[in-house]
Amino acid sequence: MNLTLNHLSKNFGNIKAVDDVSLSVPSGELVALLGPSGSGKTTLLRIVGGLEAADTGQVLYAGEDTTHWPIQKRRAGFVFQNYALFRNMTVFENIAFGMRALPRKQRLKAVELKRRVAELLYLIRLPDLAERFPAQLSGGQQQRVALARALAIEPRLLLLDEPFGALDAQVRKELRRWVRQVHDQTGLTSLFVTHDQDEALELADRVVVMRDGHIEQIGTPDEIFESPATRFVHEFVGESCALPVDVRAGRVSYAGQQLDIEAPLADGPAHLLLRPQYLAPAETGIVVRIDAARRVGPRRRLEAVTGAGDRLEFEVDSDIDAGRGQTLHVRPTKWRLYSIH
Amino acid sequence: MHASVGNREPLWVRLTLISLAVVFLIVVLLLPLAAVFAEAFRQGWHAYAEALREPDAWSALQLTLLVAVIAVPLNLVFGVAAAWAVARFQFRGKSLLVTLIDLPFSVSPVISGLIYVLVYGLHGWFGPWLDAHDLQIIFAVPGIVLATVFVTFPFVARELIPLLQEQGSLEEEAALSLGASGWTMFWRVTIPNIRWGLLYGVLLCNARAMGEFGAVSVVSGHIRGETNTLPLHVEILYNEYNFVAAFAVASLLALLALITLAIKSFLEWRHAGELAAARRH
Repeated sequence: MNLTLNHLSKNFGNIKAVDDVSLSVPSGELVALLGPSGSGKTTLLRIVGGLEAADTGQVLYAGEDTTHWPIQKRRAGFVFQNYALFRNMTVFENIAFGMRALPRKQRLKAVELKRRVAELLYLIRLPDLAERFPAQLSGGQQQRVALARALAIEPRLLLLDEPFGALDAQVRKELRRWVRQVHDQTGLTSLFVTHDQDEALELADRVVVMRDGHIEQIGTPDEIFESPATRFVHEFVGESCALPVDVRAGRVSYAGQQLDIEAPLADGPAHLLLRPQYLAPAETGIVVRIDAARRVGPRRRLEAVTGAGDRLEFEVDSDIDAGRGQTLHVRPTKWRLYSIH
Repeated sequence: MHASVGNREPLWVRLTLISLAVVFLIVVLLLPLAAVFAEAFRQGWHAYAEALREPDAWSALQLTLLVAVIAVPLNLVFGVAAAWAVARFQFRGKSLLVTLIDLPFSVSPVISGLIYVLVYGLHGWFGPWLDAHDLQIIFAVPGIVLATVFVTFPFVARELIPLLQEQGSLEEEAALSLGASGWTMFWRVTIPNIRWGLLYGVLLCNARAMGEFGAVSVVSGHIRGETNTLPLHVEILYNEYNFVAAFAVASLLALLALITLAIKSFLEWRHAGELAAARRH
């Protein structure tokens, strides 16, 4: 099912939680809503699911305006942060809840219901835990039950709010892959909210970066990482160093030194954004003095200061012997320029 | 038993604190309770039974139970509704509502009774109209019920508000998103999650409804065999120096309280596993 959001806005008092957001998600796509806390991503997800009403704008499910539909009619499978499993029900009852809440005519027979729950338990790889209560499960298990419960209503789309937020690193990684698998198996259009850029880039087909209620950029993980549309996206996704530079007639200079960089920008001050992975020592370039050197896996991570006092970080092969106090030239292999307005 | 931090206090500190607590409990709770029963049986079982078999005592017991049977369900519904409104919704005047819920606790029960006399009494605001339509509220059962409902209103609501707030609305939202109607959500998710608090609130409400003296005393009119509840009857008997009868009726009230406690303890014991699971969550 494709999903379309038209100019959605939502205020809480004076705070613009969601500010004129439009988005179109084709059927079967897995989209990440990425942003720092307070960027409006969870509110947006709740509006899509019908848990919150937008002040203005529309939500279209497969082209049909659902803005004023009651939440029950939407059939959006919602996986809550901290899972919100029904604590007084067993795993079986949790998963069966949505099927039992159907109007009497549509309800499954007991035998079929049992079979369907068993299928879902198999899908989440917890076939033996049907009679447990949520409090008797680990975080990762609860997460999977929450997903099965949402899938049980045969939802039209899947909405996940910080699905891996409360899990430790190892479980997180496993579950990420598994969620991707489930998504590919079911072919459901899915939206998930996260503040973790690694999670967004690894899992999603497309990433929506949000800030202060509006969308900063929509793109594939590659586009978001390699071509951030704004300085905010550059700094939020991946590591960044920023240098204040001047643009004159398409040439860029930093601290009076002309850099070998072309700028398709108007004349004036700008920020040159660099990633540690895309900076390398060279014969000529920006002169830096090394401040600290750390071993990071197979590479060496250097922290350095330019003559003008700006900090840069970059990585070199570990066999290059670079120590504190040494000076060298560095050149960016990739960069982004953002003019200052 | 494994040693907790508390067990590492010196012996004399532990003994002093424990004996203090025990002495306090004996002096303030156990002795008076024992005195009630001792006084009641002072002239033997026969006199005790006689005092309870007396028609006025019997009718006081019936009235007390009737008032509780009306007031407790009403406050169960009001309390759940009020707690729900306060815990789940943001609206203008919410803090005023919370203050109003606490009002019966903060005003003297005598005043709680007086306001009903002022409103519904013969010389009150609605008095002439009620009199013209031959409706009697004050010095009759409706007044006693009203005063009891007022005084016992906070128990259920006060018990539930923090519980509902602490649990948040996520499970309820999950139920709705899974297609449940508001009604299904309420009965299958909300109520099971608050049932222990609810039960506790109802038991406290019931205990107070049966034991309320001040407010009921003002609106009752003390008509023997008609508008006397058990606590009022105890007072009348006591004032008439009929100590055995007074304490016999008092022991009945104490017994009702003990039964309430016993039910609560039994339910807690019976559902210990579920309770623990609910708390672990």
